[in-house]
Amino acid sequence: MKKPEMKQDNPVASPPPVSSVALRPASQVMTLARMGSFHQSRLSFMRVLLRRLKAENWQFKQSRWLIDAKGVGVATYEAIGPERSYTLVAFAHDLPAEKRSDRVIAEAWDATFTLHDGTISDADIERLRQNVPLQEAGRISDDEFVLSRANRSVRLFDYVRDCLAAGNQPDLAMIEPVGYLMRTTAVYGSGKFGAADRDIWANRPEFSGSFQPELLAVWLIRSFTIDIVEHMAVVKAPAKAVKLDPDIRRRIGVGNSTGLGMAPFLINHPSLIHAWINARETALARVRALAATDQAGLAGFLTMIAKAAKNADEWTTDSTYQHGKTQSLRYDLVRLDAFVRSLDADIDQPWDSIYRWGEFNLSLEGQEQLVSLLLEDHGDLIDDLASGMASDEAAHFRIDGSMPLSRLRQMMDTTYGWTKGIDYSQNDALARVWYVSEEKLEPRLGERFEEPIEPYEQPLAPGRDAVRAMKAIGQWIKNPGRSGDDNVAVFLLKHPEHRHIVRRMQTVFTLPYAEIQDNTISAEMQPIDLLRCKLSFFGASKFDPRSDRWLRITMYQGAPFPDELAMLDPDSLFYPPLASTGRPDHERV
Amino acid sequence: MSWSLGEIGALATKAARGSGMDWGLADEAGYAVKWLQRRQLPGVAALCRYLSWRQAGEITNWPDDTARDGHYCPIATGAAYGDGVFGDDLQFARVRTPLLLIPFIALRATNSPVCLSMGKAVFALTQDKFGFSKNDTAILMDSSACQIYAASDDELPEMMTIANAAIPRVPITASACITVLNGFAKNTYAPATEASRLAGAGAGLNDND
Repeated sequence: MKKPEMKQDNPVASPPPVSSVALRPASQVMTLARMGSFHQSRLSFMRVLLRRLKAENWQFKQSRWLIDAKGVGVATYEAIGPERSYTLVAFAHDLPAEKRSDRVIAEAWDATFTLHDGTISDADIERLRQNVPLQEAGRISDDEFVLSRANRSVRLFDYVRDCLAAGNQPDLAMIEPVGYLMRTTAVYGSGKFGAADRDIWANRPEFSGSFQPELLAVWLIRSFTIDIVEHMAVVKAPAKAVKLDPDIRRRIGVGNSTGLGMAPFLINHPSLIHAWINARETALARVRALAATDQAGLAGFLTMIAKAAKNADEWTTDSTYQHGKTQSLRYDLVRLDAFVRSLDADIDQPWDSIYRWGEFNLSLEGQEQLVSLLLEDHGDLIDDLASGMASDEAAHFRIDGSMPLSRLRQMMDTTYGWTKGIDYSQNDALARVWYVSEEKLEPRLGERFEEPIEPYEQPLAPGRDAVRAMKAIGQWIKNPGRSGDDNVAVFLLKHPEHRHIVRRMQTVFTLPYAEIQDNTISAEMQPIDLLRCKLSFFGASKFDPRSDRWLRITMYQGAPFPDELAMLDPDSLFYPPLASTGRPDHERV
Repeated sequence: MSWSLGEIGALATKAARGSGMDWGLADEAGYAVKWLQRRQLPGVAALCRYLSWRQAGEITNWPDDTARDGHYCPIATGAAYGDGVFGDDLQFARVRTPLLLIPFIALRATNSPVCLSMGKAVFALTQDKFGFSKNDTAILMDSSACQIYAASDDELPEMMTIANAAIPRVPITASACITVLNGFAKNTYAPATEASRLAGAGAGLNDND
């Protein structure tokens, strides 16, 4: 188990206030340990989506429910916006328990889904019925943006069905630790398996930012999971069955089980990752730079701390790695609460004081929770940053061949200076190999010195590759007749093996948060840190690692359903309600 | 049945890597195929032909053997041209599957048109337009002498723009070539072993809960 990074036990006096606040340096932010401690925030994509749907007054309806007594059939859900509409098509299946697996090698699921562009026809449903249930083995078209599937939670689905069938509401104490009735095991978008290319919808304002079609699909899937459990309760006891109470229903999100398939994403999309993290860091700096708050501001912040503490209390995991981190977080939140209570509301730059106290006194898990909490009540100041959380990756593709090698070397020294702390001649520094398995065409992590997998290595170790390229450039320059004035184009003509890292270097040099400043192939690397970082930007909560390389999360737990979006403020619902009665204190708006 | 450009670009990259290209050049192959298919030109077929020809063993080194009877590799040559290794006007005695050169010439095309002659076919490019003097079949040639040059307006073929065009799909007619590319891509996948099945994905805990 990893020790929590406690620096001091006693709250220290706040450092003197500063007049403006710089962004946190990449050397501080871009370590795997810190990225693996990120929490959802106002800028998370689920929250961006729901804010937009609410602001634009989107309408929603279940347009088909053709599900039989065995729970088999098709249902459709329409989301109708100011300019366009979308339809989630859900195919419900009768899956024997022994076939239920979250692993990507599964070939059957309890339900399969696609998000269709526009209102769907019966003919399109028939086309999709031949393909969507097959998932990777089927084909979808330009008219579909997302492909997904989900399995029922053995812990919760039948329990909730049986409660409802008996005319009772399920116990929140049973629901909270799980948080979902069904768990998606993949949510594919952007051209995968024949789906529409991102370019087709990238300019639609409703999808500005990142992963908006995928998260719209997941939000609508959540409605399906409720409808199917209520349907099965009615099948079981037509006369007695009741529907879920809205306040209990809201505590049910959608689960997700995610493995290594997602891990290389953060390395493969440097300019996008920069855009995400830069937005979050800019938001933090804006809040820290605020000159003042008042008693109400501090009181609001204390409420957020209390909600986060409740969330941490409800966060269960069998993982010793995460368990230790969650324990630190619980302790951190108690101390943060005490520190904030000790503050005068009229101090200068109060949020900066709180942040800097946190840096000295909290674990990484606690520090990053604090960052998310500081953003919560400052939507007017930071929500505009969400629109910048995307990237035109093609714009970074072309290599600047005219750059002198001396300049490239200088840039590499700056960008990859952190590699000086890594000895790549040691086996431990090179212990892992990222590869793609022939069996399921999914990313995997293997042991370089124990398995015959090196020939299949994916280029996912930028630190090592940068060190190799710098060495090659050094040798080039030493050769008679050659010099640092030679340009990159000539070097790459002779050394195509360095082309990949040179392109990357030219991309990440101007984007400080584009590169993870850690060894992604070391023996100590925790792949779940990569997954956690990405999932926090999605808006996930309750990270539950099931090993060092796959984990479960909950999405949209607490969020409004389509039929209540107009009445509720989604942003006030992403942390659990405080009322001890189990009745949420949601704010009607 | 059709393919999105995104999946075709990814497949082209993997196929090129699987046939022996370094990752950075394989990325260029993916770029080139997508660029061509975006303009409804036969990029998939071109890469399929080129990789298959190399596979036949005539040439084993990137960027192909130009010493005697060899050919220039269109990807390595194109990438070097795009990087600026060569000047604006140049000639190659033999480029294999020269259609694949065009996306790289586009990187340096500005408002004044640049032409690529491939044997008797001429392809012209500006920043946002393209045109060619022969039909698709003629431009999908196995090999030819090539010349890149700045053209005057009166020698240009009819030019097309793709700025507002719908994003095309790769049609079913490409399926034989896609099967070939999948075969090359397969070389990048590690065969599974029992140990890797369990360890590689980190299974071991019950996931059915």
